[in-house]
Amino acid sequence: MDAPLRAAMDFPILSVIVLLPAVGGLMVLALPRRRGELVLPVALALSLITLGAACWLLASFETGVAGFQFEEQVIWYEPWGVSYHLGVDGISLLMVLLTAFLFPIALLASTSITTRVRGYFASMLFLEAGILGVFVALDLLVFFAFWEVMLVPMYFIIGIWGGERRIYAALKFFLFTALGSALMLAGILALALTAGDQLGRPTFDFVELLGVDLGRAAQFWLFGAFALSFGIKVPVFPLHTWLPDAHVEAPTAGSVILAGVLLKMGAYGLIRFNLTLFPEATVDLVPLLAVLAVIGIIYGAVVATVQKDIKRLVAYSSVSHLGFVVLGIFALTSQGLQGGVIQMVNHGLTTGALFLLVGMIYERRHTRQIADYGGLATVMPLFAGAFLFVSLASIGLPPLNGFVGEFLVLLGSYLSLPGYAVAASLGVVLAAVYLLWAYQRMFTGPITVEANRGLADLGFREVALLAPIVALVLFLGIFPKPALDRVEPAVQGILDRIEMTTDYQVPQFGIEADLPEAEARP
Amino acid sequence: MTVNQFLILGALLFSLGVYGVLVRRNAVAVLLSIELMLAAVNINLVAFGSLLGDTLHTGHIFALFVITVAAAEVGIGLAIVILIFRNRSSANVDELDLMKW
Amino acid sequence: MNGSLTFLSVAPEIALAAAVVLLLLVEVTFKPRAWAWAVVAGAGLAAGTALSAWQWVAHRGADTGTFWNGMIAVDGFAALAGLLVFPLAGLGLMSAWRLAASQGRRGAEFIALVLLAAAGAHLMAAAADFIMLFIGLEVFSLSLYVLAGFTRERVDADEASLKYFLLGAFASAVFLYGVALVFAATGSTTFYGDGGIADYLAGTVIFRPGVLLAGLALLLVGLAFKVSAAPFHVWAPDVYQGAPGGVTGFLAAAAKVAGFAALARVLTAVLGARADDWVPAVAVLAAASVVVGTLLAIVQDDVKRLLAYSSVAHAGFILTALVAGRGGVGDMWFYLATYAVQVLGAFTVAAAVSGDRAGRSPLAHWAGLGRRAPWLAAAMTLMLLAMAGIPLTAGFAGKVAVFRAAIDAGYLWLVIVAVLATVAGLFFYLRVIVAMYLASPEEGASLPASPAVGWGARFVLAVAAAATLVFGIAPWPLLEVLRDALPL
Repeated sequence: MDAPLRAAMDFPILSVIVLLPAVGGLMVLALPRRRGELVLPVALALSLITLGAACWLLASFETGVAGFQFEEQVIWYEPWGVSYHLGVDGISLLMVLLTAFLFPIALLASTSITTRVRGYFASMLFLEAGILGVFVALDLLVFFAFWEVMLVPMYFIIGIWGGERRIYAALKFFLFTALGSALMLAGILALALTAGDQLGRPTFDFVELLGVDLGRAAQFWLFGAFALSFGIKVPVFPLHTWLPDAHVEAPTAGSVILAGVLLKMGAYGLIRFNLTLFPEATVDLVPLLAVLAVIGIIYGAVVATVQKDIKRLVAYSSVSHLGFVVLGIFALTSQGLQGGVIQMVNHGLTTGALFLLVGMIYERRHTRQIADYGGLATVMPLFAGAFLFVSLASIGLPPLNGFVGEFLVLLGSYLSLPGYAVAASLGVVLAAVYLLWAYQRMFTGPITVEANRGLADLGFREVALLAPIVALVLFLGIFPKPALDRVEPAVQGILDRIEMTTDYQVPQFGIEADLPEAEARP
Repeated sequence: MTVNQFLILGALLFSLGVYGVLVRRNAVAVLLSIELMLAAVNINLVAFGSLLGDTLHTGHIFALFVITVAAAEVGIGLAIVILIFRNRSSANVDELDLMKW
Repeated sequence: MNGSLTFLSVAPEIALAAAVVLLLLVEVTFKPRAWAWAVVAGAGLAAGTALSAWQWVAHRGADTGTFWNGMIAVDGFAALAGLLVFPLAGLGLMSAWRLAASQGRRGAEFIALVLLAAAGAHLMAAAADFIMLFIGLEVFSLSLYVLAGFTRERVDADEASLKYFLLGAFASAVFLYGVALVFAATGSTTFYGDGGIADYLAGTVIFRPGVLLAGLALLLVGLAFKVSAAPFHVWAPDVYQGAPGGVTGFLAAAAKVAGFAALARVLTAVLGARADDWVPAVAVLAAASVVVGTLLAIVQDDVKRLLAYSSVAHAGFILTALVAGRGGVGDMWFYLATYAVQVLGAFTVAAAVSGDRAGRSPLAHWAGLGRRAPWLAAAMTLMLLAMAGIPLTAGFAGKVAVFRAAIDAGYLWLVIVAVLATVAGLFFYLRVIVAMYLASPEEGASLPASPAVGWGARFVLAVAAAATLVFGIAPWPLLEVLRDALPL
């Protein structure tokens, strides 16, 4: 490593990335009330600087290296073993980029917010800081702090600037998430103190905890506590009921962030903590999680099909898509995990774009009922084109990004869980059904409702919002290698650890999957 | 004489006091019941003080403190009861239900 | 133990008592304006704080002792209690200043009672003998009974005062009976030294173990009443709701601090040798408090009553630290100190919203506060989030501290109960936030006049907000310091 690069490594880039939006939030709050026109530019500028910093992070990230990079560690409180420990690997790098990428777009899509503008943009920026913190924290207590703190701005975003039933949706969102995270807190404390028994001092440090042998029973309990929290966030099938309400009631930008980034925190947590800290429990509980994932895929898709409200449809499609992510994760194969991570990014982009599009049409007509539209393609050709493009990406049509993720997930899960993979592939078909059917009802044919006749097509700002997402969708679909190259070592590290600590063997093509059983035979 | 007699007397008085606090409705009667409980405490303290042959006479001194403080307590208590009586012409605890229990 | 030290050991109480006497004398002699009260009270509290600080510097850690034949302890524990209680009383006075000033000549009595309560609270923490503990308890409690009914023409306040008095006196009697039984079992009322209770219990042979256990149980019940731990909490909601708005903050904060100071010393230092007997009981009390407090808070429609039930739950959280025995005392102090400030801040806002003489503060008064008084609403939000235990507030650090202590002591079940209660607790804290920000005032609802906030209350809120944030982001220095605040 040459000197300039090392100097660059010493620069606390991760802290800066986390702090920039928070500083932006404070700046927005400090703006005088009568200079309301400055709020959006300031907020946007700070989020763009954050994006710039994240890009710099991407540029100086060393590809092909396992383990964490850009680590920062400051001992915070010795007796508890708490340290301010940040770091990124390939997985968190992608999540940081996704977050930093979606936030400027979400902010720019918030021009319809007219009440308490400062509070809104400040909340969004604090939310960004919290989410970024979740993705880079390597100390469990710090992770938890970010995880929980991020709830507060999101609660206000849904509750103050949301739709009709915003208070109900905000409370439901908050309580569901808080229930999970409270159990996780108990789990984190128990984990740290169990580690304390072995190391002689408690520690919340993720990297140190990897070296602690927890024992089977403890792993199960802790896996449960963590998985419940993350499962609510993802959401895994029976825990998803908060999601449609929150998505539908949140303002457009809130939905974009909720679907684009917040749900990813759950999946990220499963990969980062459950798979690595509790490998034995993971291996044993694969069937349960896989079943729930497949149920989620099918259930989400079926329920999405019958929705009359386009925003609800997109919300339920999230349940289905996140099912793919969970299936990929718990396939415990290199392809599955990589696919899961890529699918997280894809879903963030495509569903984010879908919510943006729904928001744009809602601003024009103030209805989200599919039945109120029809034949829009004749008056809004650009909008229809964008909707079709994003839908196709979401369905997983090659060469768009959704294809890469879903293909890898199905491939990976076919290796270890062939039955589930076959069932899950039904979800791909259903995705085509509900999205294309919705497209057909809204955009094709003659105009059925007179009020739609005078609708304006996308303006310059709206095109500018969608263009970067469309570009990225195409890029990741045609050339996913840069992303995969960065994820691969991290994924391999996780699988190696599972292989090392349990008797599980990662199946690969050309090698019999059930080797341990074969050996056991006389 | 054994100490048990005093213990039992104390326990009886104390129980009587607790019973009074729980069932009497007049605030003054409740106050009296609390005084009964304090009397039980004093009996216990003095009895054990002399049984243990404590040269510092801790038990006796404590009893004196209890009596003094109890007097102060009754002073405050009666003042509050009078206040209530003036405002509502009643000192019945059951009628103190502006706020639900 | 030289002579000057003997008097210095009770110097904080002397300073406070002198201030009280001076205040009342000056009042009847010169009939001065209200600012003169503030000067005298401020001087008394400042002197008390300074003397406690001196005790802290000189006597924490190893160099501790008891004075006056083992009546008063001078140690980190007592000194810290002073450092907490006296500034808290000062903040409480500032928060209630408009109320005190509006009472005409009786304002001086109000201030004198607050000072007396502070002196009693410190005595409870510093007592090294049950006689002193009893006197501290009574000085403290009697002052609060009167304060709770200070606006005597209001029926709510009378009712609060009488209920507080009757149940408080009952609890004192139960406590005393417990003391008498412990005295019977151990032959002493002194905590420390040769022949003291701790010394006796550390021995191998215990005569009359049954009497000792009964005494221990009654002691615990009596003190649980004072800290409003369930199932001995019934007075708290009525008293908090009925007491004048300006008083409730100090009443709630000081009662918790004083009660837990006494409880912690009695349990961990005096009865430390019998920990196996009382730890399970404390754990049950803690679990009952968090559950009962949380569940009953959910159904309340009055913010002051809601905060009262939440204080029952918080009593449970603080008790959670005590199951770790001596190891949890520092964590208890942290939770107690940060919670006291939060609850004082929250009731200060309530007094501003519903009026500092009013008892009730229905949720309807809070509708749309975010628009009417954004700063008040922001302060209240911060306090509520801290009480709910959201990270980056002191409430979160406190919760982690007490949970860690309890898990360390092997009480994982208690922590899980507490954690679930924390989640349920979010529900009612959020209700208030919803009312402030998300709900708009009902049509035609009669709201109190727009919130008027005095400078004293503003200062209190600023301090509370700053402390909540600072100790939320960097709790470690305080935690480190509080590890020295152990009883002898």
